[in-house]
Amino acid sequence: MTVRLFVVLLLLVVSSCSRSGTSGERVFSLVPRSSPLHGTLTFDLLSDPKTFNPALAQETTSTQVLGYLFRGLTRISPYDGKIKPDLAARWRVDTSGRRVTFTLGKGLRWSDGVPLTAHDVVFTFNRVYYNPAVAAAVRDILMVDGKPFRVRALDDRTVEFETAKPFAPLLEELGVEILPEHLLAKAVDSGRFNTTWSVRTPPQEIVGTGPFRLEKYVPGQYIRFSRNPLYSPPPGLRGPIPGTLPYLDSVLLRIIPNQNSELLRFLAGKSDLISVSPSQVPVLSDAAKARAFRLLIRGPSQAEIFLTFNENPRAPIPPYKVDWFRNRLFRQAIAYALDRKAMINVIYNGLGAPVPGPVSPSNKEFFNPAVTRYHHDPERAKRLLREAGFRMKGKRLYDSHGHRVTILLMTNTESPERISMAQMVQAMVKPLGIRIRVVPLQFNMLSTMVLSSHQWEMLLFGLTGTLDPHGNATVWRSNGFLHLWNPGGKGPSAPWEAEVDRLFDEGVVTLDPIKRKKIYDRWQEIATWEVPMVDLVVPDAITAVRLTLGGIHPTPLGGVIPHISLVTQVSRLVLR
Amino acid sequence: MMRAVVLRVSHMGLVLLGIVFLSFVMMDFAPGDFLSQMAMNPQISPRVIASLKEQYGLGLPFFEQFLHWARALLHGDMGYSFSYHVPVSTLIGERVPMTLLLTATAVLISWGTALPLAVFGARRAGGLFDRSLLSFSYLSISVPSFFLALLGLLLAERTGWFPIGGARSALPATAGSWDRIGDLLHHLILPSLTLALGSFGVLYRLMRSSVIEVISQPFMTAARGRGLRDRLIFWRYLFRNAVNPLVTLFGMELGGLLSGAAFTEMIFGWPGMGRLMLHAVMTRDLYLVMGGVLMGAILLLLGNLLADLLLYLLDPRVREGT
Repeated sequence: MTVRLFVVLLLLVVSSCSRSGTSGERVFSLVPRSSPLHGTLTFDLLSDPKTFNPALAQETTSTQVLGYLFRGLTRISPYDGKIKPDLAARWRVDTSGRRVTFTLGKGLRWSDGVPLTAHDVVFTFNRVYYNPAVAAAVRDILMVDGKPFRVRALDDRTVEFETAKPFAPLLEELGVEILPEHLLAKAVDSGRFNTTWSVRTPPQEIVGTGPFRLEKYVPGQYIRFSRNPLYSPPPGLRGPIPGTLPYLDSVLLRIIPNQNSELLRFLAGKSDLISVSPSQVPVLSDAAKARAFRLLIRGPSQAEIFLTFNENPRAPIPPYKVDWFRNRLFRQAIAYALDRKAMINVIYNGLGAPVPGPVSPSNKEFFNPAVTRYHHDPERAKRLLREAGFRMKGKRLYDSHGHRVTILLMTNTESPERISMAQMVQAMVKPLGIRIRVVPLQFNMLSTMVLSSHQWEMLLFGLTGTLDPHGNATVWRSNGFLHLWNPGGKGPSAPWEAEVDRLFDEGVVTLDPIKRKKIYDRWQEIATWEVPMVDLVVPDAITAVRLTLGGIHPTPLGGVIPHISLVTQVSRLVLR
Repeated sequence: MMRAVVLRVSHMGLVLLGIVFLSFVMMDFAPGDFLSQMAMNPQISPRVIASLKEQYGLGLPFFEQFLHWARALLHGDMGYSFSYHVPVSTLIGERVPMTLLLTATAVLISWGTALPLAVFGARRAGGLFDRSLLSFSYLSISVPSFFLALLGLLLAERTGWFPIGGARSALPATAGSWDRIGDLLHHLILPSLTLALGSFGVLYRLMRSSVIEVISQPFMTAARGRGLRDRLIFWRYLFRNAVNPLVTLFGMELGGLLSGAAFTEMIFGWPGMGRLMLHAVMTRDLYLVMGGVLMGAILLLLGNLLADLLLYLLDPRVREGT
């Protein structure tokens, strides 16, 4: 509410200034620096990091901050999602596909000077991530069939991972941060690990392998990083200009809990980068020239928003409603009734994209373009409903037993855009004679109703995805714990569900990338034909970037900074 | 007098117990807990959530949980924040002084300006000065504080006179302590003015009507008729009687010192209790919320006690009543 009011206000002020000329308007110009090296990158965070312990970090601010300090064995290329070496210089997969041997880079050292060895890797997995006393939420993704990987050091620079079955996403999952044994072993032994490396720990004690070191953290105010002189960049990472990596001397992150202040600070030249929502674009594009920045539109963001239906026969809702939802023709009719273009225009200012299926088009490695697409087609929706035995009487739709089609659509109150999307769905299915009532609920309430009491009819929601399609197994496999539309692990309830189960079982053990892609292509075909989840629209990811910065490239997966150590400050801002 | 104070303080203990118990009950009744956010994450299995629940002691029955917390509290331990992985007392300890600095400055500004101006205005009630201040106070009452705060930020961005949010600049390590204090004060101006402006209107109107009422009392005429010095009339007869109704208000202001600035803190990025508590409530960080509630309740009770003591000192009618 306050945000919208303010955006309108800001729009008025900024546009009136730009129209009335330059009176009082502050205009920036750029002056080249003598060398692009040794600069400082500044931007704002919306909240404080909650911990400096990578094993305990759960939300995005902490993981973002820790990304400067720690590295994993592998990393993901932000351009195409391919796995690249990081701490591990190379790896070999044996013929069984169950054993992967990693060779660590040469001369790797922790930022306190102690060499990093294979024993640190073994410690990180066996003593930290797999330790039941450690509050590590990542433990699940590091398991196959509930069994941990077997991690052994063969020598100081070689470490072997063995899995119970071949595990295709292994390389992606091994991007998790490696921790220093020499500093943390004691905390693990004494059972104090869960309070170690908290936000109150003196910065010098946080030791990693990333391009930067933590220099100073003032809670609620700022975090400053300075270059790690012992940093050795991942193999193959080379910048366009000579100089040791990272090019920057420091990174300064201010904690500004309010999006309006963040925007104003960016406009005033106090920060170099800001992530922009589509509704802010008109305001910002007017100011871009005077304030020396450009808007980079990176294409559809990774977020996911979908509609799903309660197909659970044991749910405490009228059984005839479950019968509608279990009918594919009904689900397809809803999918055809939605005008996604209108949703994008109304909610995202025209800057968004429809999502065709469970894999985002920006995930080039796995996206299947040949899936069933649901264009806005109300006539077809009506035909499908007739075919499914529904009848219109006047302006109302009834099923073959004479029940009027009325549905409760739930979503969570924390997201205004989901609420407006739900309201648009409501309006769009009205011509079909379907009456939807939108019920926004607080997140915890909603998740209790969906996951425990199963008392819901239709749901508009989003889940965080992973790059590797196997991350969808918990949602799509019929016994997955987030199999929203029919939970309970009672096995597949339809032949197509059985096939999806089989595909996921096969996909995770298939290491040949071409065969693997075929498997997940088939899954996407089934998913879009059966539509247990109707995917809606996502906003474009947009970043405003100060013109002083170098090393900026919009990437579909990794924001505008492909690698933090390649960023430079080419020039500086001067108030004209 | 002493007996009354002792009685009040012991009552306060009971009230405090009631407040924290009710808050605990409400936190328990609300659906979900700190770990519910994870329940909808496809990457975290119910098994891991269950083991975390056990580690955090969230699986215990309600009374056991409450007694556990209350017993630790009696030993000065406010518990542990789930999201920050540090003791609650450290978190609150670093936020309370910042909030108090902001709100106390604001109270000083608003009381320091509203009272003298109200006395001045009331003596020439209906004059130009009084009328313009009256309309200004309408504005101050009706404009919501978050909106004022946003205008303040816009002013900072337009003019460059003030920093845009935050409480400190990232000064170099070589900066002296005077630089640091100056920097802090520079950041303090806008948020404290915003807060002060919001309460100015109420104070001005209350004090003004109170002064007008006292001026027309017979004892004022009598005092003037006896030829008492203006200064004596002012302090002993006028001010002391007029300020009486505001003392209760002052007690409430003291109670609101910790919690009253949440909006302003959010918008100006002031690292105070408001921000911490909002986040704690949203993530259901149980012991952090309880710590905040406890601090707020203590301050409210102390504020009321202080107001009553002040009344006792100022007003002989109250004194004789006890």
